[in-house]
Amino acid sequence: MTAAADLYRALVLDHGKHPRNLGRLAAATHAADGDNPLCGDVVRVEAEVVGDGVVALRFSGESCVLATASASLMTERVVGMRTGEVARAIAAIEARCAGSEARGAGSEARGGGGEARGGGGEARGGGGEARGGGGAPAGGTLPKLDDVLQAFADVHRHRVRIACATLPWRTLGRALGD
Amino acid sequence: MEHHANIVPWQMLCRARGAVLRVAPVDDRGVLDRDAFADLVGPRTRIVALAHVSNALGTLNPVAELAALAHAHGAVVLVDGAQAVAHVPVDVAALGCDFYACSGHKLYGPTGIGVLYGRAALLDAMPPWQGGGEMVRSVTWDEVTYEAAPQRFEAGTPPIAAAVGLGAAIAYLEDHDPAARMGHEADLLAYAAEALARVPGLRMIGTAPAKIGGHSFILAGVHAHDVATVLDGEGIAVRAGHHCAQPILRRFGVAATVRASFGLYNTRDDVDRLIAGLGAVRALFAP
Repeated sequence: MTAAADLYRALVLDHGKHPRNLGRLAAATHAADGDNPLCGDVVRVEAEVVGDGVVALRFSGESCVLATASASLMTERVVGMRTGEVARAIAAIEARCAGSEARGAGSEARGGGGEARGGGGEARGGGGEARGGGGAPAGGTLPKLDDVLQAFADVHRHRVRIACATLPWRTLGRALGD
Repeated sequence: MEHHANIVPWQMLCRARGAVLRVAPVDDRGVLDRDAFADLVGPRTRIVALAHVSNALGTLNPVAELAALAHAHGAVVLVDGAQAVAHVPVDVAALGCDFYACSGHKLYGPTGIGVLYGRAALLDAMPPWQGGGEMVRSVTWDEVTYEAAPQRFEAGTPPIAAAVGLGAAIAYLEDHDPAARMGHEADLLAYAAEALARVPGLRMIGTAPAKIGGHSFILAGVHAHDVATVLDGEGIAVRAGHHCAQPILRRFGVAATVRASFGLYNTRDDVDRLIAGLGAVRALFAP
């Protein structure tokens, strides 16, 4: 594995093979369907938003490992965020995947904020149970935004795959924009 | 089993002219249903357009037989030969087609150029589709006289460099004995079919007895693009996706396949490498 190793990092493979928060959300307040016409990937994102906070997020569909892992990581990372923060996270992921690093410094600042909110996500418990001993490199804690950004750091080298990694996030953006 | 390039222009024509597009089905191997085809063609059929070889399945169509049937009803026959020209010698008279189209980049030549053969009597009867330089004999403010076909269909300065490149590519192909080329590729195709059949979880999409060019397949539990990315890392170039042939992939219940195509430069070693690469794919994505 040479060129593929940078794309299929441990965190991506873990979430791609053992996706978290896969399924439908009965209490969804926001939802959207997304697809990549080129490869046939489809993903549905369902979110429960209370006030301006995302309290639950699930995804379903048929997609490649990259899109599945990206969706899984997204569901873990985004729960507990406010919708404004989600919008910034989506922009950061899209920029990272596209290889436009102008926002690099800003993403760290947001990563710090993400860490603080990560506690809130863990407190929910449900996400932790769903993990089912996946053995994430993060050691059982929910991924920070920087972990997610790092996981997709080399996607920009594989131009046809950028749309795979960003599909769930773009779909979430449309769901929350409803 | 058509490429979008042999679907979309007809849909546009149908919308513009009120024509009706009718589609001949294929069986589970990807072989055209000749009885259904015969039932579809009638006195109101104006054009029969079909692929010489399917780019998504590799099926080689019995063009001469289908063209004869279409001609019996007075239809004009256009053949999309993009996937065929690099693999089989093409004799438009023997095929009995009225038009034959192919692309430069599918026969080891440049992009942006191709060949459209048309029967002289039809070309002579057709008006120009585009106006400009080169395609006229004389122009006044009131009158224009067109060149004879085919010049009248080639308005403007042609892509000269691409045409020279295309000529070189055709010369390269013609330097190789057609029978030897076909024999070599048939051997690779059979060798690869046997080896792929032994890969666990692999399903071949397109199993027609007469196949040309390559194999299309899916791997259980692994998306086609993930297969292609890992193979790419191993130095193996395959095409993943819907191959601009969404309707036929839908017919087989898949959104995307991996396609390994063979040319005259490929060897059995390349097939062995592909099989080893698929082993790496399965290892990486094993649950």
